[in-house]
Amino acid sequence: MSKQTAPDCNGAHAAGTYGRPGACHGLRVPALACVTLMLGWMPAKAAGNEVLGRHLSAECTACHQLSGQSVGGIPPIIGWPEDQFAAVLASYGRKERGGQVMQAITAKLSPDDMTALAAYFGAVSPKP
Amino acid sequence: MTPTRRDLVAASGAVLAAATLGMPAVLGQAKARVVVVGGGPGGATAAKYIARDGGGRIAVTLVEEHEVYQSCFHSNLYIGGFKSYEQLLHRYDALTAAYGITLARQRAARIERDRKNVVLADGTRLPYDRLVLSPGIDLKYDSVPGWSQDAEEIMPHGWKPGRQTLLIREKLDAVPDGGTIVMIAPPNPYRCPPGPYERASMFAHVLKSTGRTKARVVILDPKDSFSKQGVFMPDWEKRYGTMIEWLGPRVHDGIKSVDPAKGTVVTGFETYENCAFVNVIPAQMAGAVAREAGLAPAGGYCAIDPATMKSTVDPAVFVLGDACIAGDMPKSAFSANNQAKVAAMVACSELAGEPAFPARYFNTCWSLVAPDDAIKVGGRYEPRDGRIAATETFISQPGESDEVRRQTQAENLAWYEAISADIFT
Repeated sequence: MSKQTAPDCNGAHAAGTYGRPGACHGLRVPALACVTLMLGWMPAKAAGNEVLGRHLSAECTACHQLSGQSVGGIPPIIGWPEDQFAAVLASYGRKERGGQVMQAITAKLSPDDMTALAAYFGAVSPKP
Repeated sequence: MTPTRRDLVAASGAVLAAATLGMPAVLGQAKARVVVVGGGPGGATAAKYIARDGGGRIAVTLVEEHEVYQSCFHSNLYIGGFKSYEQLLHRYDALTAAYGITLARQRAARIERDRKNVVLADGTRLPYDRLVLSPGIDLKYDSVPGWSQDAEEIMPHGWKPGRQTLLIREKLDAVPDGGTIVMIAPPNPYRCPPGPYERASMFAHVLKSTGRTKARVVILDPKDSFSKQGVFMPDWEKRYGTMIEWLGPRVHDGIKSVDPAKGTVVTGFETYENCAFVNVIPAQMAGAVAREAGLAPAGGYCAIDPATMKSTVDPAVFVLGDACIAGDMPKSAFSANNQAKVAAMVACSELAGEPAFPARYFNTCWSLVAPDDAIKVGGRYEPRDGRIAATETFISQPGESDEVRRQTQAENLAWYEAISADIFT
């Protein structure tokens, strides 16, 4: 994982970053523990509402390319495991992951919203 | 954020009511008709999302006279030498091919709201069930005494893309060492609130990097403060020393006049003579097609319903982007793209029975201050008390590390690629 996209996962304010989920090398609390904790209240295989997911996805595609292409400053978000996608969004929502944009984006997303987004983007395949 | 059953029932009810009342006779006809005027971030996004999400039940026509869209956003990066002009160009081919959007390559001359027609420059009438207006801005050429449309070649604004953007760069290149650039900043509300200050940064960067370190940039501002001021000003000092000077109205005491022939700018405080280049960014208003349709009865911009992006004057018309009054949202490409998605969702609900969700808005504006040094401001917004109101906001801080600023610029570049794809493909 490049340093460029790694967020500050220690709770310190990494103001300039979107942060790349899963890139938490410097964690005090390992990322896996975060995910495991999340799974306690979230289904292992998210069953997100497809229509809701498509609706909400429009907000994401202003910055994240649906093609999966990445220019470097903003990570691709398609084809992820759904549970991990939802867990990462939730960690932004709790401001455990640094990144002003993603913290603001997730501030008003409900768990259902997050699982819907996870299902929507999880089902998108990268363009060849 | 999940729609409740009540929301969905309400949305279905709206469709039924509309059909019953015969307002848009949409459910009875083969396809509902949406005409979109303006192929920028608002209009092109709305056209795409309505065509994509309308379940094949909405025919979308995009009215845009230009074959190629030239983005005003990131044009400062062209001026600063960070992008080629070609990188700002986007075609409509993918939109028409992928989503079945009809492109009407003409100017929209006027709107007949009583008959629900868009009249094109050649007299063709395009009937609509819903109209999306995203015409951008027009400039108030009489807002700076002495300046006019005739003077825009000599004292360019560069606030609409194309020739004007190129002129700004040409004039910047011709500034001698020791020369003075005067920028007259616009009053609120205007397109791209941090734009003038990012542009001043690019001026200073180009001058400094070409050894013209004795040149200076004077910003004469009619406003007491400006977007990201608390971050821009310390950064200017750090990056460019005293090259950029910002003067608010309490200091300059008003911009009294400009003389394009002599290159002079007169303020209440002092007169700038023999300016190397004067960049007049005038006051702005909604594009003529929206104003002349009676959608901006006061103040030059169009009031909208924050829950739907519909004009408060005419519920068959959505007004997006720079032309509308979007409360706390700035006039930006990001905002226009975001508002278009709300309008598309509402249009698809009303015309094609697709589900409706509560409106939610988001915006971020990045500004480049120096190479690998960008700052940002943004927020989340919701309809509240009849306007689009900020619920969370964020802004870069002075003194952030070089790494944070470098990452912010990486975001900025990645955002441009993503939003271009979101709008045009």
